[in-house]
Amino acid sequence: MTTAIETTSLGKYYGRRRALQDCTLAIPDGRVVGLVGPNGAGKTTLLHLAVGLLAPTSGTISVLGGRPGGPAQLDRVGFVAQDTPAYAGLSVSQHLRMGSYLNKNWDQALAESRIAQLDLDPRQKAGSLSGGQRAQLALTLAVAKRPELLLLDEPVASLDPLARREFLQSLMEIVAKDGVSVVLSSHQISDLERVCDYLVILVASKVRLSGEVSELLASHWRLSGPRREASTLPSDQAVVDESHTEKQSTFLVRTNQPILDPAWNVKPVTLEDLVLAYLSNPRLPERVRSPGLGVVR
Amino acid sequence: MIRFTWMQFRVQALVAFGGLMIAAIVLTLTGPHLVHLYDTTVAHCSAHGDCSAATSSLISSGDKLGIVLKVVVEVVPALIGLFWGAPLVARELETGTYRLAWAQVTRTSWMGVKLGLLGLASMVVVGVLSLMVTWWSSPLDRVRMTPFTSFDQRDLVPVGYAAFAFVVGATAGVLIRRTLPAMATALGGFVAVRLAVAHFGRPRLIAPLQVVVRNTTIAAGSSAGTSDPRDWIISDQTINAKGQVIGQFGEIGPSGSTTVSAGIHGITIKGAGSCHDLHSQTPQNVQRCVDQLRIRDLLTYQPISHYWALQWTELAIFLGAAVILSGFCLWWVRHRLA
Repeated sequence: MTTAIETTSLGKYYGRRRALQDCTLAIPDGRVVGLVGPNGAGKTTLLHLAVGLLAPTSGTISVLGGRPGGPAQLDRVGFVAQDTPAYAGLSVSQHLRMGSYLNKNWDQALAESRIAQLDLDPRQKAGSLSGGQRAQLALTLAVAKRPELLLLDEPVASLDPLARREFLQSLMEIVAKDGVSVVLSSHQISDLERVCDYLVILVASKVRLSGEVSELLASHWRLSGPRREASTLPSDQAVVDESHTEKQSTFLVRTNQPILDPAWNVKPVTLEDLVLAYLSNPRLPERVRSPGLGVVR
Repeated sequence: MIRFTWMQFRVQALVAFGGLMIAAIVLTLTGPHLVHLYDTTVAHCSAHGDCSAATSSLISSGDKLGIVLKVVVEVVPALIGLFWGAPLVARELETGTYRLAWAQVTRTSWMGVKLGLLGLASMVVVGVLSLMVTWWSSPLDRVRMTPFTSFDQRDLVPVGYAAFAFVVGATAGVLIRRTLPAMATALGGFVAVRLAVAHFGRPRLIAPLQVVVRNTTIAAGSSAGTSDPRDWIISDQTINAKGQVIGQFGEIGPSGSTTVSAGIHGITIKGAGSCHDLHSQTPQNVQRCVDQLRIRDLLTYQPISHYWALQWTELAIFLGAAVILSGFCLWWVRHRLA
């Protein structure tokens, strides 16, 4: 497996504050990867380290097999930063010119056709664009440099639902057309569900869960039935989340085996259920270690 | 990166260019008049014997604009530090656009090109301004004969001030990361260094000369000078026969006035001694007594022949400081920022 981002005991400290600590992970190449995690988990720090905006305090990081930050590496990686910054005093077309000045593989035709498709006025100053338009401009700049890997740091966080949908629509079109690898961090799990085929959950610098979205959805089930203790479940069912009422128990379990117990009402989970279950139970599933599922410690 | 920096900097460059154009128009409209006035009056005044009237009428006709120009040349470098230097990096950090830029270009070339291009522009703008003002003022400067009083508004040194002010602003922005506090710090830093060099550095940048001249202040009230009125007298100390300093500016004692009295012991100059053979207190006798007691003035001065050496030295100091600070900025942006 080639990796988009691979880190070994990666750490970034600001004085005594630890933004990222002892992070070891491998994010696969050739996919649309969703990076989820609570605030402060280190998502932005990880992406900044991957672009080369930050230098690691400890450990190593390689992106597409190269070290972040060099001029050659910059051409291979497109980045859309959080809040999608743009130069308020420069127009849309000036931003495109900036892209053409600074990037070796710049595709002006692609950039212009995207701007036209978005119905943006090239003469308009970026400072007067709406949040959604600015995000689209930032995406255009990142895409038209023809990168091998596109990193997006919560690009839709501040957008209204319509702009968010349009942005993700654009992203999906780009992925479908160019086959570019994408790593996208977001709080919006429903958005990730729409665009991502691979999921990495990061909690406190550690990978809590990572895997193909389809596999994850196929191996997690919500069981509800008469009240019982988690310890009484079969050993091949790892309990991720549990809740109990006086008479009833609900478990979210992970298993590769069919669930045979007829007492259970078995339901599939949504990605949102799954992510929330893992985020609210910040420990690793203890009882299942199936090789195919890629739980990275 | 050069083309992109230029694109970002276009508006400021245009403002500067406009300012220079206005200055050029005003100066070319008024400058020839001063030259004409000089050629028709001051140049021939010794033949007519009306030199003081001619010079004062020339000086007064260039006075108002002269003061404006003095302020402009002094202030423009500071403005460059404030409005070009301080926001250079601070604004990108504040608005987050550095994250856009650094994803396209290495920060070494980002910072290097910004510093280089705008630093050069600062020097060109102030250099052209200084050239124009120096040209415009030349008839006035020729009659004023005090080139050292306008030392920091003429010739080369403003270029050094501009480069330094710009880089001080940029450095403040890099370190403080916020535009407004960076502007304040840049202004304070630039003014402090500029004044320190003018007051403590310039008199000693090149070893000043010393000369001992006859004291005429006590008897006639006229202060001593060097052989060339254009020299810059840094200190004027009154010394006695033993070479001890007994006062300043031709006077005796720190108070600045000299008590001379005549009595049965002759003329007494308080703090210096008495002349027993001189009795009536006439100016001639007082002068004789001053000479007898060997009261003289020790002048420490920069001769006019040091003018260009001082200009070059001060320029080199400010340019050198700008280069060192630029190196620091680059290093900081590469290794310490974000």
